[in-house]
Amino acid sequence: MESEEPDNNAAETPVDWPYSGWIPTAVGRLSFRHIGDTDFPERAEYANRVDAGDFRYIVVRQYRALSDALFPSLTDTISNRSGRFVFVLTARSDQKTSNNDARIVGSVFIVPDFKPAPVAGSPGMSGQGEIASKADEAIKAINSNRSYGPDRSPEGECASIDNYLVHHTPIRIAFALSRDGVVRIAKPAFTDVELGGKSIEQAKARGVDYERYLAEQAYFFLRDVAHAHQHHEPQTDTLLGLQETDPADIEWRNRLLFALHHHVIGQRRQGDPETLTRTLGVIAYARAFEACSGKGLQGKKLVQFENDSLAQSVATSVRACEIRALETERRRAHGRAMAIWASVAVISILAIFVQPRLNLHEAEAFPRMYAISTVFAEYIVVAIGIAIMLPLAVAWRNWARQVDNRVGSMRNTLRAPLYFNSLKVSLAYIALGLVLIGYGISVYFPVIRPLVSGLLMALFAPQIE
Amino acid sequence: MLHYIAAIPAFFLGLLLIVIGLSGFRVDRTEAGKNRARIDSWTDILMGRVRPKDDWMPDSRVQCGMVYNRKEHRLEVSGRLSVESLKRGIRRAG
Repeated sequence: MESEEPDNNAAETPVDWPYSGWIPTAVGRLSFRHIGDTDFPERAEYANRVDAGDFRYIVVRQYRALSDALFPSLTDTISNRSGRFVFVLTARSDQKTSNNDARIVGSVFIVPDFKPAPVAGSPGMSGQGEIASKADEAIKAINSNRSYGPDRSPEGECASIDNYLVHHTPIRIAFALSRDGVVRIAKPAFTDVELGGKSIEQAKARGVDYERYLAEQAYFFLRDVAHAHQHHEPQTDTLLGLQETDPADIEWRNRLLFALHHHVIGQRRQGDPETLTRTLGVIAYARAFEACSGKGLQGKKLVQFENDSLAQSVATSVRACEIRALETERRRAHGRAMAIWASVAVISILAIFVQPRLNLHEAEAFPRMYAISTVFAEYIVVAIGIAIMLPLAVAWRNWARQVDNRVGSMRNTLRAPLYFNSLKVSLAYIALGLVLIGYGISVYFPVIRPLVSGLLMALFAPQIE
Repeated sequence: MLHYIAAIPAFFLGLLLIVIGLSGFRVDRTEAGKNRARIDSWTDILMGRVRPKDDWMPDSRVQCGMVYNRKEHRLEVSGRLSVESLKRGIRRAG
């Protein structure tokens, strides 16, 4: 079960590093200094320091909520599952950081939310809280020391936490990250053999290569801590995945380029300015990857894409979309201005011509108008409540119509109808919505009823001359 | 009193469900067909067991995670439609 530990200094071979991927960097040189400085998906605790010998040491700890259930807090609790994991990265540069070829080599440790049983004669597994607390202690120690003694150096702290994690965490995945963003990942090593065996067996039944799947989770974590997601939704983790390393070290690069261009072509068909503009960023990534890959291929050719023409074409589409959006906005603004103008005109007429007539002396001359104003005055609190609720409801409905605005559970609720092009599903949502609105109105109806009936009476009851 | 407090979120939630129900009419048929092929039953949607395409090409329509099954002591594959899929599914038909 446990995989061989790869030699970090060996050449990249499919045996040592069966999986290869790329952490996007538009400039072609990944900033190692920023590894760990991330808020996605949650704030990471990290230490990232260079010691007196010019070697970089990194420890990152992050909690990651990985369950994709629609309402995880409900269904995962009922089914005794947990999507909350602790990921810890320990790494160091394999050469002095001043060397351009220096890589970051280390391991990603994955800890599920379990309560390990004590094992006689062995250190046994530690729970999430204990692992996180040990990692945080190491991070704090590395960050707080300005000068390092021989026993308190970042190297010592890093080695100490690494040694602890090797013996106390169930899954370890080795990796090597190059300056150009290329990351090599080893097969996962399961310290908890039972966990590994059961996970692989269950995944195999569903047709999934679990070792690769788990390596990919480590890659997503590395990408989140080393890269800021700027040209796609941060949750869209599968835009770039891991590829299997090939002996010539070129096929996986071609596949990665295909994947980037596949994404670009898909996004071009969306037709909104934001998506198209982000697509330009992905084309820039494709160019950067071509450039960094081209350097080390010794004459072997990557598949060619006309990225200049593609970028030009996308930029033209962006402009066309912007013009269309401006035209739509102009029409809407015109409509809004007309509506405001009409409202102002009506209110002005009422204020200028009617209001002076509406007094006790003139009440007999305008009995219906007087009756309406009397009802509003009598139920002024209810009238103010309705006046607040109505615009709020309209604003909420407009806000909810935009997919981008829907977050968390709202977004998850939307996911369900997208599997079924079915009238029944849509009608079920509408019916449930009407029931809830009906409940809301029925609760407040006794409060609203006097105002409504008073207004109806004022408007339609026959006036006594 | 409790009813008065509960009625306001119920009203707004109801409004949201109606908006979502109406946007359901605009779901792209082709996309819905592809999405259905990723699940075996509606419980897969609820439990987050949507399958990504098993291919070397990354499947950006599904975001992939994992869960730990405490009862069975194993890790399980997890997945659901990505945010970009939501936009694609609704907008293209609009």
